[in-house]
Amino acid sequence: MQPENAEKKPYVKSVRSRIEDIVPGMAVAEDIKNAAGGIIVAADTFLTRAHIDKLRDCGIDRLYIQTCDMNKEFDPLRNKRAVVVDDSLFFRHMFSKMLYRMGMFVCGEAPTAEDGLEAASVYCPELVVMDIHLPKMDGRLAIKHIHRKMPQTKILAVSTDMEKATIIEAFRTGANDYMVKPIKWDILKPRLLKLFSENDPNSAH
Amino acid sequence: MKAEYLNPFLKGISSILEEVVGERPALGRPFLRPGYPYSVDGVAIFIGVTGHLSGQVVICIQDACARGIAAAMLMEGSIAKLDEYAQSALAELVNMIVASATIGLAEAGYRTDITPPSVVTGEKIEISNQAKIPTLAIPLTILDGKIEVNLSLVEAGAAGK
Repeated sequence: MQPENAEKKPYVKSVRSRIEDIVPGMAVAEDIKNAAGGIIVAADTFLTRAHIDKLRDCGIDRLYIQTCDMNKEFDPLRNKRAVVVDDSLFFRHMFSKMLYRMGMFVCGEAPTAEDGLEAASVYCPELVVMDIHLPKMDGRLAIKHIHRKMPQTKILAVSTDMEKATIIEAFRTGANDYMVKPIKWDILKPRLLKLFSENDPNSAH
Repeated sequence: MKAEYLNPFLKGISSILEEVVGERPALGRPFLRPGYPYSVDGVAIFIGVTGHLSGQVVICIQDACARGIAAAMLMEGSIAKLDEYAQSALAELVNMIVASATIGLAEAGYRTDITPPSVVTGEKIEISNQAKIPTLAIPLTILDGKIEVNLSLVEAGAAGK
């Protein structure tokens, strides 16, 4: 397997012209420069596997199909920015997919805490999803940094680790919530809504 | 292999597979492998275990079954080939199974740590183990395919001697 750190940077600045070359007529979101590591395409865009391979060749490794549920229920989450940090490609992919479905905007995906901190400082997201056990810097240390620099940012710690000590430590360093993987849509939805409906700006966690 | 090692794995396998695939696996009768090497087809996912127990867990999944599971995890209709995303999904599946088993192991008094998973695909993959730790295999069926969970675990200090 290719080492994760050989991956391209998790965010791509501007790729519009190249995308229009590859997929003529593709509807590309206006704020493409924020579509970290991927691009947003309208739900009715038909993409073949060959398109996706070509897009990948030019450094885009993620496609977000705009199918976000227009349900009012998701209003507290709509257009909120998120950064997802996890060393598992699968987890980043699935989590981003779920966040998009709730109307959130995943502006950064990172395989390490270091990249995650960089993405967080660039995008100042409203939400950071942080894995606890990461290859180099520990997720808890990254949570501490983010919480100190951006106290308004909600931090959702995620891990397969369900040990009490780990969970307590994550909350202590500044996480607003902790979820044990696997994380399914039905469970994530109420937890995120709860996180963002606590509207008290002074809520010290 | 003591039952107290085995039970947390049986529990982890059933609960995680049911949760991510949406189908409860049918567990077969565990058996002790006669020795090394043993060979498998499809996908083999390896996770190392250290701590009070040491050794490895190798989960082998037949190709079609692996594609079915990956498709369910990635919320896609079907997957033709085990690409990077599908392999990552399977690695995560095994990571979740073994991580959940380590909780049960800790309750039984065995504190363990696990390594990140590695995924190997191919036909006739031969697996052997330098420490010659006996392997207990748990066969199971899910999505009309076969999975084998191979536990080669020994109490720390006993391995490699």
